[in-house]
Amino acid sequence: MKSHPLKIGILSIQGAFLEHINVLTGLSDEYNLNIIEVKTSQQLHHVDGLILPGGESTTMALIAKTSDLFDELVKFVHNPNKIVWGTCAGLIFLSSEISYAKIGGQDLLKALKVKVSRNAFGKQLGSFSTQLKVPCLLEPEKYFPAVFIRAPIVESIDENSKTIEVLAYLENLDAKRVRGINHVEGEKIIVAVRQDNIIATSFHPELTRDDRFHRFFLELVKEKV
Amino acid sequence: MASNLVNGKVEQATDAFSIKAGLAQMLKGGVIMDVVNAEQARIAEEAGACAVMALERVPADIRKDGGVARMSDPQMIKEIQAAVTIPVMAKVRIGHFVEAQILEHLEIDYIDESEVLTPADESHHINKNNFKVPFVCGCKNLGEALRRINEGAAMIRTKGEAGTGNVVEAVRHARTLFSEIRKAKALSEEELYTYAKEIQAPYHLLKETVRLGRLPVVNFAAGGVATPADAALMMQLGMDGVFVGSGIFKSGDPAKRARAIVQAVTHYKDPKVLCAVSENLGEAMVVIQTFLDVVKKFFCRLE
Repeated sequence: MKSHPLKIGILSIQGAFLEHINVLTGLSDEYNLNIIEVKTSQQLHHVDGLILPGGESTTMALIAKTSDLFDELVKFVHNPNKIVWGTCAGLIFLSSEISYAKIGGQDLLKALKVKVSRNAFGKQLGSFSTQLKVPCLLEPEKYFPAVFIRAPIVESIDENSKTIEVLAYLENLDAKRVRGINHVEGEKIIVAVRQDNIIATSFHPELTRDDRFHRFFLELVKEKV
Repeated sequence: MASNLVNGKVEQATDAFSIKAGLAQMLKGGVIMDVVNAEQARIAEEAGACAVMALERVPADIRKDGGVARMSDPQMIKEIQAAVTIPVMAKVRIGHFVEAQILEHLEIDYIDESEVLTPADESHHINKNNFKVPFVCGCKNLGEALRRINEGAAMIRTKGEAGTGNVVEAVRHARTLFSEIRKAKALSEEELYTYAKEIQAPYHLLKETVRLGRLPVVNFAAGGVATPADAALMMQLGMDGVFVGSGIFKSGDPAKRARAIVQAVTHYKDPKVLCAVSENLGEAMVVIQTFLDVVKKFFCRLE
């Protein structure tokens, strides 16, 4: 007999939400998924896990505010029984503090106790793709293809937070290219983290054919339901 | 770039295009607004624009003033780049690859090789594969879209009729594009070769379009969107997002109209939201139809 479907929401107010939906659709039979585009607070109430996609963090925050979704999102991401995953702009939106915010600041969900540097590699000319070691994934010895588009990085982790785990580092990067931290040649940069029910990545697994990050997220949702 | 070598592996050539196309994917479901100075750029960012298009005069003024419309003053583009954190795009004349080199030097996030400016070359477009900065180009139909992608465009928009506040041409181009894609999907392989020849499209890109059931890159509406309802119309027709040019800053209350159009693109299928955001927006932009436009319409449908 089939168990209850996992209800996975994708915040669909702006950005690359269809790309996440496409990857999840490919895993839908295996995981028995009910995939829900979340544009309103009513849609949010139905889901077990939520993906905050890439896009523009300023746009997402503004639309969430004007759509009366913002406060409900804050409640959702602080609920330890819900699994949340932010990619790129989603990482920024989830964080508690940022550098290089827009003039006048921008609204954040303040659930993930990290400081994020926006557009850490500069403008579009600084965008790149690479291969990362991500030990928490299936087949950990296999590199994960990571696409960084005007990407943010985790600048620092809140010292008082005991539960944040780094899932992936960027290594061997040219020192000059990163803003927000005093980066020295050869130093590692944090590009994926987990804090209890929240995971966040600087890069875009939804733009690749590798679905291991989506599987990792779905396994966490499965454990909670 | 030395840093292509990260954590052990070298970036592939195909990755370079996917990074260009990837930024467009992040803009989807959003509104890109024409701005002529840093102050307008700030208004656009505060209204929720996902990017801004820096240009010297909005299309409505280009139509009115006539003359040659060119790439904007780099100083103005720098001021806009300094004022906002969202991506900044800018326009170059069709075929003017030196204007594109200048914009690339400015580290613009996207270049629009645009028919809104006066063309610099009547037979050649820019070889966009030569640039690291991604390009967006206009189209009126499938063949034109695929020719631009073949030249390296990583994003497509309908041409519409910029600066008029009249959505009819944008609708025509979107309808044509989608209808041609549906037609191509129904064809046999032999017929597809002939169809590629007919619409002057590179065969491999036409085949890829059939496989995907859509253009291989992100596709925005542009050219005449003036109201939240116009924006939602284009989204319901199947576009990935919307460019708004003169529609915002040529209207009565730009900040309010900009916010309303942003909301309309997110909630494009929800008449309740569309109704609420359409209330009391003040005057929409004035439709300008010059004598020259009428003449052009009859005599030349230039690409």
